[in-house]
Amino acid sequence: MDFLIFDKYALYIWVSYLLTFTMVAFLFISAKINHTRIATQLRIKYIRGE
Amino acid sequence: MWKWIQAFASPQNFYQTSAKIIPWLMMPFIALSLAGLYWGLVVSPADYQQGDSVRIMYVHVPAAWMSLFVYMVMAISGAIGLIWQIKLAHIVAKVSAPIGALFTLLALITGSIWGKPMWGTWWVWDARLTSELILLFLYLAYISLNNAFDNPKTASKASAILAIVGLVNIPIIYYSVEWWNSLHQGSSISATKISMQIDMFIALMLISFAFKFLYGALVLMRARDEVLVREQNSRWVKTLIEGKK
Repeated sequence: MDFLIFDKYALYIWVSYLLTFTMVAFLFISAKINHTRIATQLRIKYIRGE
Repeated sequence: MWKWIQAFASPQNFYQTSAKIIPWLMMPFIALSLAGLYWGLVVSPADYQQGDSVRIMYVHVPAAWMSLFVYMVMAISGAIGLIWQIKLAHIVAKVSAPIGALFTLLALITGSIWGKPMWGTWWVWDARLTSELILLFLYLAYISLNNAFDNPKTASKASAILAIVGLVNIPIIYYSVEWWNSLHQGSSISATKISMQIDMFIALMLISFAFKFLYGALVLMRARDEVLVREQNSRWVKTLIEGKK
């Protein structure tokens, strides 16, 4: 796995890929959390009969 | 075709159909991402000038392409919403904005990370970089404007007009490296010529298509939530939510 060390550019490369992964994960997790939040809010609203 | 679009665009149909489509967008996203990572980090060679730092391009360039693509989808959806009064078009535009903003931010940050070892600086007020930064501000302005109104109809109309006006920035970004003396390199891919090694091109395309599928899945996921909010007084939403207990 020596080739994954990428010489003097390793830090720049791995930070870039880590940021990309973080962004993708954030987009998915935020979409899931948003869905749960909306479903809960609507459920409460219907229970209260608003 | 038009009838099919109208049927799909009805909120209830969209909500049900999109749930079936999302996994079919996620699977190619995961497969293409893994293949792209393998090609970009293992198969593709180091560049003769940039060395291994060229591997940053496999996330930077697709992110930059996505920033333009998502903006165009947002503006075109806004225009469709304004002209044909299709609610779903406004919803697509609204949910695309944060995704596009994040892709733009990613393109700017990864470009900056690449710029430090290659140009010796994190940032220059170059035409390409500055116009891309303006694109980020346009996304943020769109999001702010959309949240500034209580009435979703007014918010959709106002932000659609902003998105359409902001379209002028897209050709500026694309041609900036030709119109002005730029530190940013020119395009390596055109309709007639590919000026890069084939494995580099494959890595770029794999990640680029992966991002397209990701965007499709995210738009559907977020649009479904927006549909629920806007249609909360409909009987079908009430039945759906109460049935989920």
